[in-house]
Amino acid sequence: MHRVLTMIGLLCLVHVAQATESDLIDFSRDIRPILADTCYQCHGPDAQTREADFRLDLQDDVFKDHGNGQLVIPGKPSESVLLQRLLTTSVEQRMPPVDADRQLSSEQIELIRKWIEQGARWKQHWAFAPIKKSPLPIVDSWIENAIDSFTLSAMYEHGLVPSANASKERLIRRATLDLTGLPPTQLEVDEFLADTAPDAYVKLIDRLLHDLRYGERQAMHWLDVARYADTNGYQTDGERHMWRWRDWVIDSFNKDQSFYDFTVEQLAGDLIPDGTTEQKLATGFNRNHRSNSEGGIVFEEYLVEYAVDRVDTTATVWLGLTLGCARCHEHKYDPITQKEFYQVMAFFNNIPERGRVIKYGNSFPLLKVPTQSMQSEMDQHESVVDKFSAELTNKLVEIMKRMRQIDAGPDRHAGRLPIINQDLLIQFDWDKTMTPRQFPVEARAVDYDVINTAEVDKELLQTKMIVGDKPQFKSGVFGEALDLNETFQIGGGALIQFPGHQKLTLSTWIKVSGVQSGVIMSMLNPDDQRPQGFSWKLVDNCVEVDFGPRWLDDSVRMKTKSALRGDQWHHIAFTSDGTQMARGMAIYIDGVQQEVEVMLDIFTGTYKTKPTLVFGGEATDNLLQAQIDNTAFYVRDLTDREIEILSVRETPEQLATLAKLTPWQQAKLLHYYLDQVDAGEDGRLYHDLQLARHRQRLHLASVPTSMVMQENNQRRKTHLLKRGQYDAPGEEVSRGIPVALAAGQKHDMQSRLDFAQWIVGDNNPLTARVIVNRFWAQFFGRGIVASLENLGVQGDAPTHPKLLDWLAADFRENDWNVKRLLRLILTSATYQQDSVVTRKHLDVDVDNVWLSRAPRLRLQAEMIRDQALQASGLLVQRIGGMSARPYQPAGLWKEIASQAYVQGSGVELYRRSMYTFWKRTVPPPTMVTFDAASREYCVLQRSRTNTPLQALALLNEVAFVEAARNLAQQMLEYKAVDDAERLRWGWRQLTARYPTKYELTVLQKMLATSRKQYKTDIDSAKKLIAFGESVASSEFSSEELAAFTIVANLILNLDEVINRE
Amino acid sequence: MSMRKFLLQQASQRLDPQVEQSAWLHNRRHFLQGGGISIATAALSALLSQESTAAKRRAGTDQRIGGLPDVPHFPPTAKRVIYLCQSGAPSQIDLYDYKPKLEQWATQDLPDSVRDGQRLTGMTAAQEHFPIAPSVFNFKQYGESGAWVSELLPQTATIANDVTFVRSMFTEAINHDPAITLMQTGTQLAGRPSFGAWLSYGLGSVSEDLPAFVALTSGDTGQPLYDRLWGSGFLPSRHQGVKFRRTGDPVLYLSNPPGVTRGDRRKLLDHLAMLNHARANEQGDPEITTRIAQYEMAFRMQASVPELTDFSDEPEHVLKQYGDAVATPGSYAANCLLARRLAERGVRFVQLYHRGWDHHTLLPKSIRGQAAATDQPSAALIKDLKQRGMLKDTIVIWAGEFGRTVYSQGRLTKEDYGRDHHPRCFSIWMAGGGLAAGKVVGRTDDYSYNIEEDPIHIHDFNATLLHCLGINHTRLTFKYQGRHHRLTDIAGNVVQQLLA
Repeated sequence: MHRVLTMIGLLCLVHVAQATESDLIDFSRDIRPILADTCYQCHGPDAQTREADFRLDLQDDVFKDHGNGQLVIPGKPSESVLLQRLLTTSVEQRMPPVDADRQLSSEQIELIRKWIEQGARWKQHWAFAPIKKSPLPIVDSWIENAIDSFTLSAMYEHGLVPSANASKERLIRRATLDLTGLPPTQLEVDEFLADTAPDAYVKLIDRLLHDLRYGERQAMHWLDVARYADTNGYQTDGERHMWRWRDWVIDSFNKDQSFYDFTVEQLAGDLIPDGTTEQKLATGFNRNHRSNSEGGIVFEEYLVEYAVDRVDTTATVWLGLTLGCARCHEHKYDPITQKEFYQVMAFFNNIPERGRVIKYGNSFPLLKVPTQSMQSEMDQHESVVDKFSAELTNKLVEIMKRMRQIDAGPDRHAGRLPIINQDLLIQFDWDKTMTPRQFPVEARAVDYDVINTAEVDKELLQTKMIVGDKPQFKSGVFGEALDLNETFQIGGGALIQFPGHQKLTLSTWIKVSGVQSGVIMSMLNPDDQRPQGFSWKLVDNCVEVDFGPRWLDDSVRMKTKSALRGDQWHHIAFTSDGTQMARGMAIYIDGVQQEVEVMLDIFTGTYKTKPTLVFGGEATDNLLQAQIDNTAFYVRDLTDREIEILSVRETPEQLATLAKLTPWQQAKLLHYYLDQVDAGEDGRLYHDLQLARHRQRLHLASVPTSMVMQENNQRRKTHLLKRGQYDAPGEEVSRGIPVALAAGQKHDMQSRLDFAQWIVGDNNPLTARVIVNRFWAQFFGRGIVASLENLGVQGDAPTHPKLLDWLAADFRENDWNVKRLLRLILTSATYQQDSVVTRKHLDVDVDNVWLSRAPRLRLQAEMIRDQALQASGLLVQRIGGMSARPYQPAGLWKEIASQAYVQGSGVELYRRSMYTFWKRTVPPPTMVTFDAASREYCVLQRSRTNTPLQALALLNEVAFVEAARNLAQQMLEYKAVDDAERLRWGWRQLTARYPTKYELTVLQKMLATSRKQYKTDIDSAKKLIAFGESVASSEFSSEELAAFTIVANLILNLDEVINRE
Repeated sequence: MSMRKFLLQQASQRLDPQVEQSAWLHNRRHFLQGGGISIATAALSALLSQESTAAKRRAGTDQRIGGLPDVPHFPPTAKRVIYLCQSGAPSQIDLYDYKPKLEQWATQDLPDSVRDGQRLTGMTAAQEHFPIAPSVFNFKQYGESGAWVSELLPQTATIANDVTFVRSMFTEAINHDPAITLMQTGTQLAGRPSFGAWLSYGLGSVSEDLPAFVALTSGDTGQPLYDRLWGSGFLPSRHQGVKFRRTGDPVLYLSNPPGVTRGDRRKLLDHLAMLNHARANEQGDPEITTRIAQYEMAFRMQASVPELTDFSDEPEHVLKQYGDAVATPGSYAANCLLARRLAERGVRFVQLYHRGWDHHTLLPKSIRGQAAATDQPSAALIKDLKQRGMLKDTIVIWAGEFGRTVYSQGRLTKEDYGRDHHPRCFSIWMAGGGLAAGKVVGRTDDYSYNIEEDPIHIHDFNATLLHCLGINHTRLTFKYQGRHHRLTDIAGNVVQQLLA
């Protein structure tokens, strides 16, 4: 109470002072925006569109004579040419020209007149001036901290007084939603109410800042900023996997990482000396942009778009500048030249990436990024493998002595296995049969991308071979061999209808007559005119592989430089590591990896072939005169050593009798002996080792990847692009920052790391202001500068410039500590005000610019759903991890895109909305209905609309109805003497307060009405409570549960519930 | 009293503390005393009577909700747009742009002088040859203008006097995603509002129970579509197009949950409104009153949308006009009829998308199917609108996102060829709402490769459409990131030739 009294006393005093203050025209606040908006187009920074060769953004030009007299003469408006030209009635003379899009109002002209009259004081644009921490303007007992001193003085200036403090219930709900994105539990409310200590509120804020859900809530916003999504965003819009980066963001906020490091690591973590995996992972920020996999795009065009996106996003997020405007021409308003845009772009276009990206999955450069538990599992695997190999190495000499007695030992396996048999899927022995031997593949190493990408047919490797042709066999390396004198088709050969991500090895022996060209083996789609699929062939005896969806432009095509010698047996092999890139593939001849000529080096799309494996030529006139023997398919890229062993022609028995063995022969014999002969301790040890390695590989394959930034070894040249077009390069530019922002510092810079450090450096006047402004907006619904994305000349003027600077300076002085900043904001008296809107508010300050009340804000999309899940007890609280696929109306993707949405079940339905799988071209519908960003580009501020579609979603969507039923169930389970108490409990679960008598009566009426309804219509009751995957409790009658469900549905739709007051 | 007025009155009452107090007490007393739900319900059932019947809606009140005060800038010739978007880019050479000389050049390489440095997509850039592929289809001239139309489009030929064929559209984009994004939003990159969103923002809505902007899709295969094509970009998201679905609820979450009837819902909304009114009184936030209104509109939509999508009130001859497929929800034919019904009910902008025109290979075979599915319904829509006197203030557009190449992609035989993407020219047609009728605009060279007469860029096209809607395209702007953005970016000229 005493606060209010002092304020009223002060009010009168301030009013007097205010009059003169507001009459004084401030160039930066009042005049420059007018000039920029109306005049800079022709008299601004862009020389291309400049008229009459003077600039109204330059102090010198404004006070100069450009031929007809001085533009502005301080104190003398009528003699100033500028004003004369604005006021003249002569159509030729008048400015702006009559046909200009933007005209000046008489009020604006009057402002300019007054400014000249008052002495025409020029000021640098406020945001480019150094940050200054001014003394606190006012002292009052209302004030809790520095923030209030600034806001209170502004309120006084505008004839306003602060609102009373919000109630404790309102405060805890507000702060909990603001800091964790979830409502408080009733227990938390009780505790807070019970705590009557003066610092109870401060303790509450501290508790919330240490809640792990704080990190999720902050990340929620950062995902918009970083245009995070689970798909690529163009055309087919296939999946990508960036959730490990999202984990990093959550973790970073929870660890209270300094915003300085948070920035540097995201922009240049890959360049930090001795950087950690985490720091590299952070750079995914600038790989989150959309990327195009459409067939036929011109790579260079998209490389430019990606780099431009990085520059635009980085500049918007940290500098609050529309740097992107300078892509095509000099910036129209801010002091940034076109050349400078490309100088900044030069930091971001030097990564080893491709214009066309992988259609499904992550694109290079990427990083395996195990979670903490995955990492410890990896370490475990490694130590087991190390232990076994050490033990074996110790006994090696002794074992090698023994291994020649292979006949002496009993065979461990019934029948002979191929020598290398791990991950072997099938082998054609060609011993008078076309039927291959099939082997059980023990826990096939499944790559993360393979199993988590929708394109992959899970049945892919279920081979069932159908053999039709009548083959001829000739003598081979081991028994008989297949003669390729005609085309042999083997149906059901789905085994090489693999997705490009599948690791594999193909191995065969081959003998060719003389020098020839023709196909050894293929898997194609003959219906399509464009060759696609897989083909392994000889071209003048050189081994060639063609592999991918379009051999013209989207494939790997490579050929060995050496040729096979005619009329003798060679072993050849092909391996692929699943990256779909030539550099991840290899061709071997006789165990030696070959130098290859790469015609095409990557495929990014997917392909479809007939499930028919074809041996021999694709057409009868293209037959290869050759025999093949022991043709094998592995579902792993074998190691060099394993392929060496495969290429050894002698059988183990033969090797055992040789006096001298080559190292390869020795390896083969040793492997065979330990793998298939020695049944004793050493054999078991070897087997254990193999198994351990297998598990290690298996585990590594399951570790997710994340896309990261990485520098090219050799720096790409960067050119200014005329009109911003990729195919119109102008002068070459070096790396640098805009001179106007360099503040005396050298503007040439070498590395992206330098750039990142400048962004958060002391010389940069923008970043700290931009960041505190955005945090501020989170809690007050609007920024101190309303245009969060633009602090440049065309942005809005700050409502509380000194507060903004004070906060920015304080933030920077305190090591960019975010939690400290938020604590300051949330413990301010300004934040703790009530949100009731009075008539005075509506008359004087309808938009609450002067903060004489707390804003009432509709919850953002994610929070609305999360709140319903939590209040109903359905929410699954698990921090981080893969994206989830909650309810979605069937067919929504299919209707407009190529993919089917596979809805998850169980836990996946109830995770926080920030983990919902985000398909950019068809974003999650309820999220979009409540104004979520599409994530196609960086968004700093969502709109906050109020539409009928929102009503439909909240009333009818299965997730909300299911939440209502679960809330109803909790009400029924709540130990209470009567309905009223149950209803009171349910109401409080969402609002943190008990209902008024009136409100309770309405709830009771609703309950009574619904009860009556469902008592007579039990079928409907049953239908209602069966909606959603969770099973309704059988403890309560259907009609009772249904009736309460309707009441819960009502509560979840209350305006108060979907707002934070 | 309209619901809006009622709610406005409610809001203004709240401003007066005395009225506020008494209304509040009055409501409360009545509610508590009365056996049933009294005043509040009475007020709300007054709203309910607003649940407009089809007849009333057709009478068409021109009362506008939202929009900018200075828009339209001048008297419009059109009130609404139906945009038949042929996604995937139909081949102009096989549909509208008749090129008899190609026959003699068949299989020859396209002369470099014609291609003149035009960039190609990566799909054909590596082709060794660019063999000319004449259309296998026959063309005839129709209407007063003697417009050439392919045998694939016999029904479209019958509306030749109602439409203007434009053969000289061009774009910069050569890939689907950027091209269709440019066509619909005026830029190749994501982030800008679509045409319909601009209209919703500028002109507002005239329908009390339907959104101002609706998108419809048909075709199961072909190039994917994207929500951004009917998105609102940086405009407030209420301006985004509402996509009507062909399966399940036409509008997402339109149906009540199982076990909840319309009557049940009404009761819930009554109780909800009472609680929200109470909150509004106490809290003073005008947004609460808006929300109550939105719930009421949602309730009305639950009735009006099923009525809208139910064709049983259409006379047989109308259904017949659109063809048999009109009975299949989600077909192009059904969407064309639905578009007319939406237009009738005041929806400003109906955007249809029909997928499947991307014929890189097997063009002659595939285009037959596409043409068969779209020809009759497109023509029927024009005739239907005309019969109802609606064509004069409704714009109808038929257009893809770019053209296709004269040379064949992949194998070329006498019966078979494919065509790659071609940005330098494509053909569209448009009709109604102040646009010229029975005209042919623009001419391409003998290869349908370069434009020889009257090139029209997408920005010119959009500027012209806006002009018909009474909007100066340079003045419908929205300031975002410090710049006054507009649909036509920094270009666009109204094409006088296209106007009536």
